Amino acid sequence: MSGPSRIGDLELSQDLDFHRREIRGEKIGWAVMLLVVLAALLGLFGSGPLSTGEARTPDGRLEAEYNRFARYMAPAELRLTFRPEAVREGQVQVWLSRDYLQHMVIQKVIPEPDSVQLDGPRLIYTFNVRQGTQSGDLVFELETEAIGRLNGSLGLMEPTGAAQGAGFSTFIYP
Amino acid sequence: MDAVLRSAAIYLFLLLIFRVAGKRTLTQITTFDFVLLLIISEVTQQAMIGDDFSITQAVLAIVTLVGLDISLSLWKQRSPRVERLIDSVPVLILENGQPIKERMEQLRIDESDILNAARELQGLERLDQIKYAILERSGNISVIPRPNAGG
Repeated sequence: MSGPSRIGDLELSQDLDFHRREIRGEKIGWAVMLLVVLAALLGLFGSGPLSTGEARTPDGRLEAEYNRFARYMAPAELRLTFRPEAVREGQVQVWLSRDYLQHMVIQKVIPEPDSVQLDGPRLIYTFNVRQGTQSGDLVFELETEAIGRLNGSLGLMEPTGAAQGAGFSTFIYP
Repeated sequence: MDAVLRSAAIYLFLLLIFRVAGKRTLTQITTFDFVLLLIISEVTQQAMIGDDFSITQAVLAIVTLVGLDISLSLWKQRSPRVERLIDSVPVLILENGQPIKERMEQLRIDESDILNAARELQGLERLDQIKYAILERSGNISVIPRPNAGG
């Protein structure tokens, strides 16, 4: 860019090319802002209709509702629903992958688990259930502690070991 | 570390958003603009320091913001292109009493804005008393009267 140029009696460093580009840039920026707002309303930045995902173990005895999108240091929730067939001897045993929970702070588990066991890459939660319980919800209230994509898996425990689980993943915005 | 990164991210984001909003956004602060400004500052404050209310965190955030401002001004001095990109360019919007409609529309300025500036700055009454009106980088309108504007 040269110095100020003369326009009539006026010394002015006017650059109409740049001005036009700037106006176009502004318009594009407005469009982007609109898209961001729409995406936020749909839940692509966490909290919204598209922000909750569902996973299910292959045998269908355990379903999970998880956050597809969450935000750093914000609350997240993992809601497990077990079918009556999942109850054995008055107990439901659920395993969760540790690499998921490592980057989450567990604020609360509802109901309180009867015991938590460490099993290599898994954590095993045991809940006492009254006989004849139809099905129930187990809610893990979490707070995110990392940024980026987090992969996790969960499933039921069998007497023979961990049953095949379901995978899920959460993307955490900074 | 995160105070520095957060402040830098907020600084750059605000720079971008106010560039996109256009030059005139916060120049003539109406009551509502003022409220908007207060809300924005409140929201950014939380994003910058999070839930760490230590003096250290505040100092780091302020040093980062002012530091970025200084380095940006140094960079602008070195490179006219960067200056243009960050501060925009002045645009002539009225010549010899004739408003340049197309540019005014692009910049979201109407004749009453020019008249307002002419009254405030020069005590002029009509458009034909104005020789040049320029929308400056700052978003203010500067007005140059015709030599015989008094008549």
